[in-house]
Amino acid sequence: MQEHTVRQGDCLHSVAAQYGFFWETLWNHGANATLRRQRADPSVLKPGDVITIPDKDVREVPAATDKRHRFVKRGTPNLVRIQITRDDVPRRNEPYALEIDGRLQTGQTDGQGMVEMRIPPQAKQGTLRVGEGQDVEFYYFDLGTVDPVDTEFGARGRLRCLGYDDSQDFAALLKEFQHKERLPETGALDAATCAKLKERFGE
Amino acid sequence: MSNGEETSAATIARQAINSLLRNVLNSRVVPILFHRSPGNDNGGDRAIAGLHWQVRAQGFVIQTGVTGNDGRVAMVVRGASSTLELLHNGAVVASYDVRVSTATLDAVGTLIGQKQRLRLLGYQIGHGGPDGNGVDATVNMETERSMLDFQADESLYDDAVVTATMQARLTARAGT
Repeated sequence: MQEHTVRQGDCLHSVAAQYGFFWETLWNHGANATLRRQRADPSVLKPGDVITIPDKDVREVPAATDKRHRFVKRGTPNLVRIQITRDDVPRRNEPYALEIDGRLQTGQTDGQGMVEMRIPPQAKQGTLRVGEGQDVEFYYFDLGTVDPVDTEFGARGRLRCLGYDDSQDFAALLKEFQHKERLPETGALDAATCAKLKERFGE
Repeated sequence: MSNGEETSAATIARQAINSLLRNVLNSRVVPILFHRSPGNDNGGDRAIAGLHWQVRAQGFVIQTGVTGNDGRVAMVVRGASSTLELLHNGAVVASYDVRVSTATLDAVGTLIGQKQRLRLLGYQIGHGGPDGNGVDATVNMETERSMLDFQADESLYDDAVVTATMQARLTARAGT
């Protein structure tokens, strides 16, 4: 057994791939039960979280010499699914180009402004271009950097994605969000605010 | 970020392949109209079409485009502010810093509110006032001239008297 301490940009998917496990194996391992209760979402971990990495079961396969043997590595691709909106209205049926770690995918956003792409679990960065001609918009993002919603970094990241000015003071930023969402304007990261943030950002 | 690193990039999760979750990227848009002044009597030829523009935020180009027949740019503002740049043969020939503010303009019935709108519409109102942008509560020669210019452009009776019609026209032209 060994332990992995989560750094910014890690999620359970990337850590599992790094050590050669399916993410479910780590997530469902008894030694990680506390983490599972605490985080609820394998895509959203907090830097400093500790993941227990079990020893591998070594499987032996008899194989004759001087013959070719084929071993297939079962891939566990991940997914990014991004909904593009302007002033909260989805950008429907618009051409896009999504580039993640040097791999390019082009297409059209769907009827809900959604873009989806399969990615390797350790992919780190992406750029998305939406629209053409008269109005083209670019988005730059880091993968696996969504922190738990009840942390300042996690809340700020979500608000930045939702179009808020996150350069402002944290309490003022929360009040702006609470005002728009008709929540009590406490300026604090309370349960109602966390729930609404998750609902809006999707995670 | 707990390791002290700064980032301005969006944060997106790697999802399990069977996950139904999505992450939202939303942009705040400020509508901006490029008009020339004066236009013809009904104002119909004011919009400037075919302007090449780009928007920068935090050092990155985040938007590019060309104005259509309405001279309109749906400008995206990220973070505290973004910069709208006009391009000619690929070179930046003008730039405007745009900051989204929840503060609104003063009422159009006040002199300050009228000056704010005239300034927004590109009229020369001088450099007086606390911010050096001409917006203050005094009437000087530049104030009168800008009002006469506006009335001439709008085919209103030109006597620098701010009538209800002129207030309505200011509000309509400035969009607020």
